[in-house]
Amino acid sequence: MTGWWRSNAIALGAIVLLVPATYAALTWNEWSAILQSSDSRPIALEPGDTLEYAGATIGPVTSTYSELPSAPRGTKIVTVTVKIDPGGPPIICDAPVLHESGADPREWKASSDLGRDWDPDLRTFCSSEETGPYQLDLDYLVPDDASGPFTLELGSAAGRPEFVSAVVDP
Amino acid sequence: MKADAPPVTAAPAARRLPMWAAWTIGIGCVVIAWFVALVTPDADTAQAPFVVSAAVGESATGRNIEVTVTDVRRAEHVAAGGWSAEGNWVVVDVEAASVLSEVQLNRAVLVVDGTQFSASERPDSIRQASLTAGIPLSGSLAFELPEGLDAGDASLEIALAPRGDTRLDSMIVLPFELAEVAEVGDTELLATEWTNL
Repeated sequence: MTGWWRSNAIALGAIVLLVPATYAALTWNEWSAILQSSDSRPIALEPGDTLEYAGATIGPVTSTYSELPSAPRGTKIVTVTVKIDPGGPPIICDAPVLHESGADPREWKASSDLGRDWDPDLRTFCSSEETGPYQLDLDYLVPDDASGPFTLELGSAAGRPEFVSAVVDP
Repeated sequence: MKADAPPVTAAPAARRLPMWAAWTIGIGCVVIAWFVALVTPDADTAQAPFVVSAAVGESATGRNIEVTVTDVRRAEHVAAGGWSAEGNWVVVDVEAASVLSEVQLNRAVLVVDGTQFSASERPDSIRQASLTAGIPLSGSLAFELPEGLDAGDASLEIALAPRGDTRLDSMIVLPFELAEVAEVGDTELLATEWTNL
């Protein structure tokens, strides 16, 4: 070690510590609020299981491939059923989104214009009034090349930053 | 009698850069800073959309948008469903899908010699349609131009532009010469529906 390095050892050591510490502090400061207010922590829900989320019981989640008259060629429909038991006050949730697994994942929102017969009891979003058990029946139009397994992501403002990530493998 | 003082040893001479080396390094830093300032893009350039060039009949794919322009034509009379209008129209047929997630097609602009014309809100069209990942939607865009504007360098710009913001995202751009676009007289816009229905 030359004289210059030895005489500036304390300052150099401070730089080595402070530069990464400053980077980490700035990053945390910028990202923490965003991560806290968005769906950033998935809670895995395996097929057949239930879990407690935002005061409600979510699950089981089941899925199947469906055929509906208004689906274009080259597509398939993943129909997902989600059982929800608010167990008290109603749960208000965002529209559940179907995600594709893999390196370049795609996502789809539920479709309501695929020609399914109208059913007054069919629900496609969380009820802001219902306090008893009910289920969501969601049709997702995906291209033929979309391969499972998928995950259904369901989030609620009351549960953030956590969200339910249910495995869907029709 | 005082004891003999310990012999004073000379401190080692500090090693300093030669004067010419210090000046060279200093001037070099100034030159490098000038060069960095010279090549640093301004804010508009640094945040400009990523242009994806398109051609009629060929698919153009951006980050989260895939567009195929299937036809460009000029017409004096356009119709869409029960709506119709006279004027100086440019009609563009497209097939569009998203790549990653469901998004809205918010920007459809025809630029002629630097003047921007947004897709008309008057007919039902694919303007502001929701695009689905991997499933193309067909439809048309209609641009109403001033009377007499029938030539010039034109480019069709299509982008997702959430909240009107085109920065740092893909923009599909189809350049063409307006005078070379076929005139068809009357035309009808395609219904906005799945391409493979």
